[in-house]
Amino acid sequence: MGAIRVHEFISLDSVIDTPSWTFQFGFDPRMGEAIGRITMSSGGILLGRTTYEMFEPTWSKRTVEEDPGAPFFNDTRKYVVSSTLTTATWRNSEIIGAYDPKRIQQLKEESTQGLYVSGSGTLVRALIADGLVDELHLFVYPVTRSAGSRLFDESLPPATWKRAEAELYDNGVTYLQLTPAS
Amino acid sequence: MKLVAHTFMTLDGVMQGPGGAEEDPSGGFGHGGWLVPFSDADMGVIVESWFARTEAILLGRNTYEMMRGYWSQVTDPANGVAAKLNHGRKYVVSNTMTHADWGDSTVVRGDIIGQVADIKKGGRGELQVHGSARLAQGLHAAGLIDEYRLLVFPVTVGAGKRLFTDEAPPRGYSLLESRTTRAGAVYQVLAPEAFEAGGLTVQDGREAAR
Repeated sequence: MGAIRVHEFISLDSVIDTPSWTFQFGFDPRMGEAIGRITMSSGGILLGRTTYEMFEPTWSKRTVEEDPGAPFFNDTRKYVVSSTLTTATWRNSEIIGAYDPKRIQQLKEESTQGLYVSGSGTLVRALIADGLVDELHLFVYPVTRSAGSRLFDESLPPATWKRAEAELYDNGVTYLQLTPAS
Repeated sequence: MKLVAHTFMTLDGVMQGPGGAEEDPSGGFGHGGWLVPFSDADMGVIVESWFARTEAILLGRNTYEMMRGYWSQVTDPANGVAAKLNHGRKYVVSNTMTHADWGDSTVVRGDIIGQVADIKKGGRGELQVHGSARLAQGLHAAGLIDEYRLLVFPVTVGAGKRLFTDEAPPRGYSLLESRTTRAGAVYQVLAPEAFEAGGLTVQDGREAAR
């Protein structure tokens, strides 16, 4: 069975909306390596509709020469949670319908290398609530956003996480790798 | 004086009741004591470093009463935290207290923001806020805090009092110091900066900030 690995860019106050506020901090090469380790260990991608629709126009036109991450996003099997989309136009994509924890559990069981999740706030909150997340990879930016969509909103039950890894980058970003501490 | 906020915080930004269930159950908060499983020697070193730099302490009434109840019993002269709290200069923000009798204490009432700004002007060293959610929220929103020392613990509790509320203005920070504790907390020291936002654009097939 594969793990579900969630990757988020998150503000100090837990906001994960479209992270345009991350750009002022630049991109530390060690952060790229950390993200590479998450994607390289994953054999599939699981996305919510909003993130899928944001990723497709950007990633589908990119080549490996332009961005070393392009083959992962384009060639890896992608599963899209959506009750409204009917056809997936980005190659290697499949719409798996509205959120259903049993379907996600089945995907985990079928996967040997695990599934990578990025963004997808609504989906990730549901996965956390259902105990389906195995690794949370948070890149915490020194910004407070105040209003905005929070990763951990008040609908989620209290939970304790185990910090598996932490890295501090020169650009002020803290990388936390967390696993459920049940 | 430099105004420094010291906050124990959950991963989802809640600062209410870190030390125990009875500490602050207001608003129906039922998860008090979330910090306790992560308390360790590394955290002790960090907290002691705070009190080693204390010139004066500024607290909300609830935190003041709670700290007085505990620390006034600690008479061990070798305990640096107790020495600072019991014998140092303290300001307590309250519109109901008329006088405060824990050592050198002064009650601050009325225009809190204006009075804290005046206290900051008078002297050097650190004016430290510890906990005190409502006070810290107000000082943060007013832009009076010069440095934030946050200890963030790997636990989420949902609803509860926050330092960074939805109503506060967005802000950027420069990271002055960052380290981790063996029990799993992340310590960050931040200085406020202007909030900046950008956008993504694609130039020649590559992502670029605009």
